[in-house]
Amino acid sequence: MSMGSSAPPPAPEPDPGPAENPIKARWAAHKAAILKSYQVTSVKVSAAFMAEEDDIEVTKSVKSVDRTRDRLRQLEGDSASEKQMRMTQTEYTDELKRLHKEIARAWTSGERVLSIKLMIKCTKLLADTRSAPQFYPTVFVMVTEMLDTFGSLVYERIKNKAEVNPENPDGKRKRLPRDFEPSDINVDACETCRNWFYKIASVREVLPRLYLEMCLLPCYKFLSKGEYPKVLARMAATLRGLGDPLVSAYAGVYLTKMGGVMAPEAKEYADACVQDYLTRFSDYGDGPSLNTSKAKRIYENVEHHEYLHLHSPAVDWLMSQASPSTFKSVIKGYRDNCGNSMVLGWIVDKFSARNYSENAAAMVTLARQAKASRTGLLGVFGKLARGFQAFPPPQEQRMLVLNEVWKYVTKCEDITSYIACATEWLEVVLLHYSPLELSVLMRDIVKHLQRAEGASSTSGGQGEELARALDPLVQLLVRHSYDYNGAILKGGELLQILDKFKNSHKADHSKELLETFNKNSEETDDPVLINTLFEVSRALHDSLDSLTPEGEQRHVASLINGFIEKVNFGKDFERQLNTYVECRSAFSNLDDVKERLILCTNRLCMRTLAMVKGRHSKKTQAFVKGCLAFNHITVPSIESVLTRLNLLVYCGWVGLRNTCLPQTDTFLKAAISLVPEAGASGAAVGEVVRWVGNFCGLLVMVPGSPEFGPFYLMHALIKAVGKWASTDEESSNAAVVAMNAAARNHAKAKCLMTMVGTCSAWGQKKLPYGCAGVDSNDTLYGGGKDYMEELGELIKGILGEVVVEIEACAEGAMKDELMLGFCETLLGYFDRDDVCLKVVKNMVKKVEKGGTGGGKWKAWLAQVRGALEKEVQSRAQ
Amino acid sequence: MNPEHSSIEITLSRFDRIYRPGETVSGSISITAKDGWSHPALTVTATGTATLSKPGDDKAGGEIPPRKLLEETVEFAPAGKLAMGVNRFPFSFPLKGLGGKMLLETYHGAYVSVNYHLAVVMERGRMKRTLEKQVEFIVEVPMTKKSLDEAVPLPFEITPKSLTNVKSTKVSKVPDFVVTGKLHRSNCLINLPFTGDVTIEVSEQPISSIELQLVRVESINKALVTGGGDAGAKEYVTERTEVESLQMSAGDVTRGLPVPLYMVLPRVYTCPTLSTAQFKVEFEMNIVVVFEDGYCVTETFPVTLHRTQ
Repeated sequence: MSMGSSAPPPAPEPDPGPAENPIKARWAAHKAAILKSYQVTSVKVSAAFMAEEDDIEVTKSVKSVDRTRDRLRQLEGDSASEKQMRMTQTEYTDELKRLHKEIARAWTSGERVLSIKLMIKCTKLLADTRSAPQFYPTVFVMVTEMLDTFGSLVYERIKNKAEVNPENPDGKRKRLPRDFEPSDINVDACETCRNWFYKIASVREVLPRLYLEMCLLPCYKFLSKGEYPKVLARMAATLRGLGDPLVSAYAGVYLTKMGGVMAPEAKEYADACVQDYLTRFSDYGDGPSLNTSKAKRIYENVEHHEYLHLHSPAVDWLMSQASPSTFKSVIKGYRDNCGNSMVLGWIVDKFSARNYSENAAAMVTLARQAKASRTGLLGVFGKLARGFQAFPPPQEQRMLVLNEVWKYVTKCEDITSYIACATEWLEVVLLHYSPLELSVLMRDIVKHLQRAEGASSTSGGQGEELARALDPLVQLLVRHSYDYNGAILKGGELLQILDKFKNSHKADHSKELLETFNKNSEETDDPVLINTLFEVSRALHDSLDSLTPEGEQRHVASLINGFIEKVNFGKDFERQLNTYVECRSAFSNLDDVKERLILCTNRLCMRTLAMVKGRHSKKTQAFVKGCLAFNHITVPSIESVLTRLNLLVYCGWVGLRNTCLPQTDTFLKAAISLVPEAGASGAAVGEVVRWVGNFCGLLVMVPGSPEFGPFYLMHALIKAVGKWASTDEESSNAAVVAMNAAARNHAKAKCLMTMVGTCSAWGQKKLPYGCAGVDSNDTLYGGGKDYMEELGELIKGILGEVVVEIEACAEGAMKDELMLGFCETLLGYFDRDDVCLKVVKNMVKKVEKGGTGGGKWKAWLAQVRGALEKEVQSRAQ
Repeated sequence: MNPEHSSIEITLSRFDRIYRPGETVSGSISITAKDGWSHPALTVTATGTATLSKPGDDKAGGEIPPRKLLEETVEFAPAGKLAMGVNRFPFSFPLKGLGGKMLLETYHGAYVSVNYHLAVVMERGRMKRTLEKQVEFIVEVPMTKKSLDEAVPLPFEITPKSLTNVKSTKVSKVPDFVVTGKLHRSNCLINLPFTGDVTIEVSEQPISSIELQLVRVESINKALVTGGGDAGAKEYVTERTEVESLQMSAGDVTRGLPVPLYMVLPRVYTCPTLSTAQFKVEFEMNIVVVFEDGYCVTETFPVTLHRTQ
């Protein structure tokens, strides 16, 4: 239940001093936690509370002394016979919010008397611990917020008076500096302030009087310096006059909060509050068995542990305000009068473990002896563990402490408390113990989880609660997963624990695990480790489905790839390949992973080659063939055509390098037959052109086939590119279709020109580059007559097609580009004989005359043409 | 600018309006005059009176004549003409008692009252409304004796046996209790809070509350009250009334843990303990322990209040 936006606006805070910020933030967090936890269904409210506010005596009246006793009797009698009505929690809190607003409104409209009356009425609510004790902490928060508002209003009023010049009230105001002194305050403001303190000092009942003085604490600053320790000490002692333990505990909370804001150096009063709390605990702490009237009154409304739970936020805050140096006396007070685990838990939590880590064993004993509460033994142990994480027990006590603690923890029936406690101790063990203890703990945790699962059906809510409790445990394990050489990952328990989670939850943890591993681990060959991560990855992979967004799939794939890259079996290549095979079947839905596997396999081939220094043995050759076979099978399962094309080229190259010519052949043929599909799969035209360039580069080295001729692959490629270019596109938009077709034809021409390059390379006596161990066309055919003739026909064919494409192309920049490209091709790959020059010259002329006239290259083109003409002429002579 | 109505305001130099004998009381009178008029010499009169009232229903013999402590008239403006608008006139006079007698401290009691006023009265002839204004000011009278260094604490213990209003035979019927404590000073300084502590050592019955009650003990010379008899004889009629009752604790307090007693003495409703031939003003503190069954135990402590320099 939240406070909602209808809460009154926060009043301006007074500026008390430099140390206020941390305590204010802590107070805000503390309040929020209370509001969340302490709820109730209905509240009994006295009719007088809802009645008009006129029960405060502000003026004095004369009373005879003898009548006093009767009056007291009458007041007591009134409260007993008061009518009560029921309200829901929402109605009640709404009423409180309304009163909060009303206090501020009355003040600002000058009805200050009404304002203070309302404030007093509301503080009296804090005297009531009977009608809805479970709700008391929340009521406390709401009423103290009203007190904060009220205190600010008074403070601001006095501050205003201090800033106004009494001799010239309408004139310029003088701002008070942040650290003002009483001497800066004019008489008018001083008197007003003093009057306020007189007014609250005359409030008859102790509870409102005390709370009002607390909320006006900032105003002491106007009157004197250095008064705070004395004032706070007096108020701390006054708390003893609040007989109800719940009332006095929370009053102590507000006192130490206000004192902490105004005078953080004054600590003695806070220590006194803590000591008084511990001393008084024996009045009620042991529950209804105490059989005193006080205990009876408390426990007729609330159950024992629930009552302690109501005290818990107050103890939490008080312990946090105590001076760190008082640990010994606090423990003594605890021992003498308290002995309850709820209190011990907060002592352990709020005092630095530096105080007790040296006596770790004694603290464990103290915890064991503590009396029951909701915190319980495990709660205290958990808090001790948190302390020990930073300040571990001394070496000689460590095993004793762990054994002692675990003896009790392992007996715990409630799985959620067990996990919470075990998580804290696990961290202590990870930080300060050894792998041996770690594995013992892990096994125990798994055992408990299995038992819990077997015992109950972990339906809905309980299952969720357990998952929430397991979260910190798993995060801890993930954070430390690489400790002790990945001991956690190697133990089987992690997987078993992960299994306890539901899908998306489990997936999140798996991802974290992989990320941590990838970030921290080196390459590994440890089979257990690899197996663990493999299982985690597999589960993660399986959790993806068609609804998973693409970004998510990419992310998971990159995590798995990270893992795959870390697997390194050194010289045992077989094992490595086997792992890749397993991965492929496990991660079959993620193309990115399959791509990576192919690249890894290729790398494996190259490493094998390096190992045999370029000369394969029968065995290694067979192995490489196996790798290539793996790739051959894997590539088609990838969706993206362009990726496949790239991979096939790469695999072809690897095959070539390893002198596996049949395999190379297969790859290249597969690639060529894929080209026509490039258009349909959405590969961009430019990418296809680029790919063709790569392919042609490789093709230079590829030897021809005795069966099909030296240039059979080139022939096939030409056909394939042609097919690709003439793909019929299905689109209703004719213009788009036409544009795309034009683009493809243009691209086709470019491809063809690239192919010319390869062909011209084939015409050389020695190829510009080759592949070790492979006889390429220069060696195979040695420039023989048939060979050269066939080559010439091929080239002519290609050039012819290019010209066709150029002529078919529409006038414009694209055409010019093609024509100039053609010129380059001729000049670059052919002897510059007369025919060649003439053709080029004519082309250039055409470009000049063409639609765009050569554009900005006009001048340059003219130059070129001029040069060509000159050359032609000089040759003619 | 011509105001709607004429009026008089008296402003004292001190915001708290507190002065001590021997000091100079100063301030200013501002007369807002509509149209302005001529006037004779204008004066402000300071008066101080001790008023006594007869306790009980017996009003035989009429009221007790009040005693004049201070009467001082000071001229603040000679005869002249008041301008239209606001006219300001400063004034001052030394604060001292009539006939050199000692002044008494301002005190608002039940049967005794000491008040000081400043008043301006301006007659304007039969046809016009008389302008007047009166303000109260406060006189504090520190003691002439040297400062009171020695605190006189007052420890106490209350048990059923120590009760004075229960027959010894019935003591056994009273639920068992032991209450101890102390007043830090029985000779209190009036400008400081009254302090002490009280501890419920033992109590069979749960405690409902502990109250601290300040009681004024006013005594008036019998002769003045009855209207006859020997005024010289020191016989007084005494009345006790409550000044203030503050709750010191609520609910059943922990046994053996001292609970502070703390009361800020209310201004003006208290004054230093005083004794004259005509009347006495004295004080008592009552500590009242109220048990859950409604039974009350009251212990009375006479205290003296003093004001130091």
